[in-house]
Amino acid sequence: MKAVLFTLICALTGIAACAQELSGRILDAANKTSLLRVSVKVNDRQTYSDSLGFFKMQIPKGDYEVIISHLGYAMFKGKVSLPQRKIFEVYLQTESRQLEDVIVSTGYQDIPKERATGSFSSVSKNTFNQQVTTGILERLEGITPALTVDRRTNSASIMVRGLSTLRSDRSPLIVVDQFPYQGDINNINPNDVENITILKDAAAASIWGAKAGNGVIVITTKKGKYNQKFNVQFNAATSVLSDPDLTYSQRISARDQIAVEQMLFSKGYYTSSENASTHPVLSPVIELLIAARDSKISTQQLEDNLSVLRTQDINQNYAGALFKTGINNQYSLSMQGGMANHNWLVTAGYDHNTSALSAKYSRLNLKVENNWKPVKNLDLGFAISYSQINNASGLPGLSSLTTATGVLPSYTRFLNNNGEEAEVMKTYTSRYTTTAGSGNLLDWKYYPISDAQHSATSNTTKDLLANLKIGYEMFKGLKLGINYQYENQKIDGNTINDISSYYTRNLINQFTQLSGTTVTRPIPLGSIVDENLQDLNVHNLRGQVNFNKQINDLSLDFLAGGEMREARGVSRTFRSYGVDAETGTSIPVDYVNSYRNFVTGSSGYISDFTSHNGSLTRYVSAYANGALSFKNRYTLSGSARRDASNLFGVSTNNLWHPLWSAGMAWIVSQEPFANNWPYLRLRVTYGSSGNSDSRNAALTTISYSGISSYTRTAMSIIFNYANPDLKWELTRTLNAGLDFSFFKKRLSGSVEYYIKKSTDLIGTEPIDYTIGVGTTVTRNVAAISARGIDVEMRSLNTVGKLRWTTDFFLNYYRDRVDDYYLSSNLGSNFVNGNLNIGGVVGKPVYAVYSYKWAGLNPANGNPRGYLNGVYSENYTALTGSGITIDDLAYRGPAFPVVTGALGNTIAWRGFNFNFRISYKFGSYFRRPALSYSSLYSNRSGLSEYSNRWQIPGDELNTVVPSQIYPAIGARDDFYGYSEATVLSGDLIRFQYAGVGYEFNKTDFKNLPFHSVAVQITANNLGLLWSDNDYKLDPDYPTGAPQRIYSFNLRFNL
Amino acid sequence: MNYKYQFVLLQLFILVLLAASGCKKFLEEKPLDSLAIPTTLKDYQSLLDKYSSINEVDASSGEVSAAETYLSDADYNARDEVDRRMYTWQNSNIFISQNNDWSNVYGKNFTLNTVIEGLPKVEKTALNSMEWNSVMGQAHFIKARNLLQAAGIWCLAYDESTADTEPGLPVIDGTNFNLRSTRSTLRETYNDIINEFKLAAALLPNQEIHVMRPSKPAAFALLARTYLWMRKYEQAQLYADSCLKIKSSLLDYNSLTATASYPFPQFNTEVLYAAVFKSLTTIAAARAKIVPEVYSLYDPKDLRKTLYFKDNGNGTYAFKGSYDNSVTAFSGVAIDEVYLTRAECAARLNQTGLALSDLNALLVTRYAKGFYVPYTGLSGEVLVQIILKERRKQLLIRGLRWMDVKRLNKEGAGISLSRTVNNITYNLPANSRRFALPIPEEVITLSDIVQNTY
Repeated sequence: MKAVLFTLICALTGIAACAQELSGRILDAANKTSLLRVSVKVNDRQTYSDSLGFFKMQIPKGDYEVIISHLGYAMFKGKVSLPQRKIFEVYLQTESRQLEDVIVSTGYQDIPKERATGSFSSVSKNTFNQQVTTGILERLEGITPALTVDRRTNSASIMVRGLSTLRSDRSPLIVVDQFPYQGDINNINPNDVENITILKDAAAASIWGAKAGNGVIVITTKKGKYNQKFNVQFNAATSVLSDPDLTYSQRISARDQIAVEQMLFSKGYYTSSENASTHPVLSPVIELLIAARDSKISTQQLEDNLSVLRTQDINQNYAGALFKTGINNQYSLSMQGGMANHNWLVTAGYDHNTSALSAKYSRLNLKVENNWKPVKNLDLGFAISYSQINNASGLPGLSSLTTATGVLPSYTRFLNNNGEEAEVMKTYTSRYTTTAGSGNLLDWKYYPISDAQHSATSNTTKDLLANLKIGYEMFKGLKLGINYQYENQKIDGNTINDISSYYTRNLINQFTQLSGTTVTRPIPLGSIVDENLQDLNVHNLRGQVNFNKQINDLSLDFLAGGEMREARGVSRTFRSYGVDAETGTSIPVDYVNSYRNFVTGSSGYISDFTSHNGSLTRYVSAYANGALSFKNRYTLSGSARRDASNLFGVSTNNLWHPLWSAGMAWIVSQEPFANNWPYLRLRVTYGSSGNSDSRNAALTTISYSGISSYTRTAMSIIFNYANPDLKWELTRTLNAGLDFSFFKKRLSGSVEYYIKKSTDLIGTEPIDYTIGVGTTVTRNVAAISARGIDVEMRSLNTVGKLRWTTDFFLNYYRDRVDDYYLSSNLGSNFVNGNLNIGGVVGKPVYAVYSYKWAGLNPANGNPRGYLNGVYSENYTALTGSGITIDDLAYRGPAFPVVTGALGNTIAWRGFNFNFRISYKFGSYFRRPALSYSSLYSNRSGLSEYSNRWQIPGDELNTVVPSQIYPAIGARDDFYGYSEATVLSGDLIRFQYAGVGYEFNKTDFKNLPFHSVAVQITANNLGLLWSDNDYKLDPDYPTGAPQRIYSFNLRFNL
Repeated sequence: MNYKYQFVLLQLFILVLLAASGCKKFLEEKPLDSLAIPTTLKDYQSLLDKYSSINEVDASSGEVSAAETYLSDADYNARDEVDRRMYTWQNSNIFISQNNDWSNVYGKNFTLNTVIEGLPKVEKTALNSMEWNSVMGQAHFIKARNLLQAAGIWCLAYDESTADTEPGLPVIDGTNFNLRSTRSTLRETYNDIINEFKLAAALLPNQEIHVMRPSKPAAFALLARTYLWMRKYEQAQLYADSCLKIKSSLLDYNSLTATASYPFPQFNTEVLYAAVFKSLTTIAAARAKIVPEVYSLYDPKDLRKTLYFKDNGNGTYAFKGSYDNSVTAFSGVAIDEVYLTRAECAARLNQTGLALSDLNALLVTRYAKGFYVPYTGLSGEVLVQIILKERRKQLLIRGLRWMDVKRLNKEGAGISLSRTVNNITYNLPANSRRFALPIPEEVITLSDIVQNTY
């Protein structure tokens, strides 16, 4: 990471003497730490700085040029006159997002960015460490060019340069140091990260072959360095988290919920549930209404109770009773040292987090690395790291508290008037549970808060990573390398539902057999313990030849290699009943015979959760990569790779899949004609990358899934439906870039333009389910193309005592469907936001389509659409099979067109201040909409209920349809998927801000260590602006991220 | 570094390259233990033993439409729109998207075809021929049964005179899912059903290890049902007879406890093949009330009057007589049906003695001990009507009534259905084309299947 910024604070005037002393100090400009063993050259004399960064040299009086160079820093050239009046200080600043002299890591090699033809972006340690988070990935959004996070899928997926695939797995390949990381990436201590490189185009990524179609993120961790003095860093951070915002889900108010329930009750909606043999639980209000109807309570008592419930707010009741302040603690220690032929690095990290709901997380990281040069030409390296993560469940999240008949009502109380825990509705009505079994059953009440103490899930992950490297230089220019890595991840999870837990009591009761007064319990009294063990073993072996040769102006860099990789996973789950924690004993149960369910009277078996699963993936790959440079001005590059795997049914033709790339670069400013030009470099690449998919099977496979309770034989289902016509997805990328730097490198950056064409994309397509392969099928469904512009800029606004730098990036991205072999044009398939379905030729791959909206009917508040050009309230027709994609309104893309961020860092003396803003423009999203069907059937309503159409005239102020009973599902769908519920996703986000001060020994002589930095950071500060009035954060469909306030101390001993 | 080191290193390096570039075996290991390319009898049998997607996915739309039960206005209003539409015999949009009865019936098609296509590649030996035959027989049986269910719901009753012009069903053979499905004629469909059942009957053993698996008598019973629905009484009688020759045990209802929530044991002696409806929607006992006309058919001494019905306490009755011993309704095939089929065929073919003896044999087990007075001296249409009444009583909520109404109307029974909700009466006149339910609209758009016309 050589980069240049210097602040030279020196006055050089003469004091007469013959042999003069040149003395000075060399510091890292970023953190003011002294730099050890920095080479200082004056003419042919050379010396090195000491541990405090000082150097001295005896030279005669005169004017000299001083050349200061150090590994990882830029060479400094400056004039000095002797004798000097004041000590000569040089600040060398490290910064990675600089265009020249940046080393980019592909995971196979480190190459100077100047020589790279492909498209790379990097994130420096400094930028990365401006935030404090437990995991690595949480920090990347907003600081990483071309990277976006889509949270509309179940788990957030990271995307590099938009889409290359239609399937749900859009995540890029994550490489840690040299190999793809197989374990959970959150195992890694973020304090160990040295830098992060994003491989964006085919030339950069094709070296990773079939797994690189979605881009590659290469994470490089700290390394030991030769010739480095013993160095210790310690870091302690404490973060305070804001409470989760429960109001984000915009629940219907308690008052409205009660009004709806009263209406439904009066209509007899609950009559069948009330009498059902399954005794389903009904809400407290319905139970009160039943009691009043049956004259068990007076009308006055009913009204008193209801008026109390009307004032309740489930969010406040839950947060108030339960939330504690979430706190994350993070400590890390790093020690390193290096001699001429040996270096070492030891790092340790410990994280301890407690969430607002008292869930506990802890992580321990240890890493030891040693590198030797035992003899000339031979490099040996050995590294071992270990992580242990412990998770323990806390209280349940409010959204996970569901009942047998839907969500909890908005007036739910968790504590009663005198502060004791209140019973909360769960599975069966209390009219049944209080009398059932005449006292022979276990208590059947549910108390969610105390239940958490009796129903605990915990798991431990242990991850061991060992790496062995041997490098040998056969002769000058030819290096052989062997790299082996072993990874073992063990996960041991268990859930204990003790005898007091609702889960266990309920299950025991359901199976209880009562004949007369004889009670038999097929599920014994005691805890139910579920255990899950996973063991993953990964071996990676790589052999590589590197060759480079310089012949006059021509330089050749070439590498070729092969690698094998095997990941073998085993997982086992089992359950024990009747566990006594004190004696460790469990009681066997009868899985063979069926038992009558106490509640329903139907027969059923005790669930056996025993399962054993094994998995094995193997890859074999061969690759080559070469670059030829002339006069360091012109570079040609090329790469090729083939992959093979044991993934089922990839027919032999496809087993080895070749991928390749070619590129060129030209440093225009080095041409003789460009004498006084600023730095200008042009580069163009073209290449292909692939996406292998285990579903690419040419054979039908089945998956075994347990033993039938009836026949006691194995059961299986079809896992994959043979489709011999399936082809690999292929993405071809053309990338053209311009790198520049002006004004003595004060303003530098790059502009890139790319075209990605992906063909034979595998997608899920609706299929006629008459065939019997389900409702969708995996096929090569589409060809898409994407065009984009990536701009990265970095500006040194002021240099000198006040150093203000700004970095900025902007990514423009637009994709379109070029070809789609869609057999359905059914409108309802496009409006429901189902991201599995692609699009329409010429339109974005993921686009927001809606039913055309003609407002609410002024007479009755019914939503209206258009049918054959005229107003219609025929919802079956408006949402039915007659409505095709052509009848829908297209609003715009679902992914943002423009994304980017702006970061500023201001430093003055020991102070520094930084903040970052990110933005997204051009996308649309659908907000949640009120559905009367769900409101009636499972109580889930939205606060917009209060804003519904009620009297003529309301249609001018609201789009929420009037309330009707019975509900019409198609009417709800029509409103929910109409233009009325589409919002613009434009936003500007305040990502984080931080302020800090560094005390160092230069300024504070009594400091017992080199430096200590204090930093306060606020993270996830929320939206500065968004283009919707619903208080919705378009990036977070289920809840805004919690703000994190961190206090960080960084010691350099 | 000396040459020895260099040599060792070079060798190691070459080894890595060699390993990486070849090793076909290395790539032939399967990626998941639980995964297999089906090649063995065990593999194919395991697909058919997956009861949750084979035995527990029967279509209830016919039973819903048969109007043996009704809903209160409140319960009707509380149902989803598609349920309300099906309940009132609308001719479009009566199915929810995807997880509907069409997918319940056709969803196992590919699995069955995989077995039928793949099994011939498993070598049949003296040792495994019994098992081999059974697996193949099971696949054909399940396939035929699916088609028969679907024909009962989405097609009109079979009529020899219109069988070549009335649309039948898609019959999907093979495992190429890139083909588009179309409807065959009703004759072709019924021919397919019969051929598949006959194949199955020839291959299946008299008894399998569990009634969750098809067996020869079950195949005969369903052949009898198919011919009965086609109104080919000689063949129906023949296959009913073949079935009862193998298995004819009846459950004595006197041995059951009427107060139990579900009095009938699961897999009881009458069950030939166990299956249940996937979803009950408007026929779920929690809300579905038995039509008073049906309840009044049972005499006080008829044990079914208490074994089948739960008194809701408000003058209405819910059904609890499932042979599945649960809230879920049994929709498989049982021996009681075969007795009634054989009796009906005999009566129609004027074999009065045979008809009476079957009828009496069944009914004596349904009445309180000592109170059953055997039918004697009846013949012709009177006897047929009595048998049909008993058929309706015995086979309540088994998914059979809908097709019985249709075929009996072809015989001139003139059964019209009607339901009143919210003071509006909906009628389904005898022989209406609405007796063939509309196929889910999304299937029509995704295939070459033509919708039923009304």
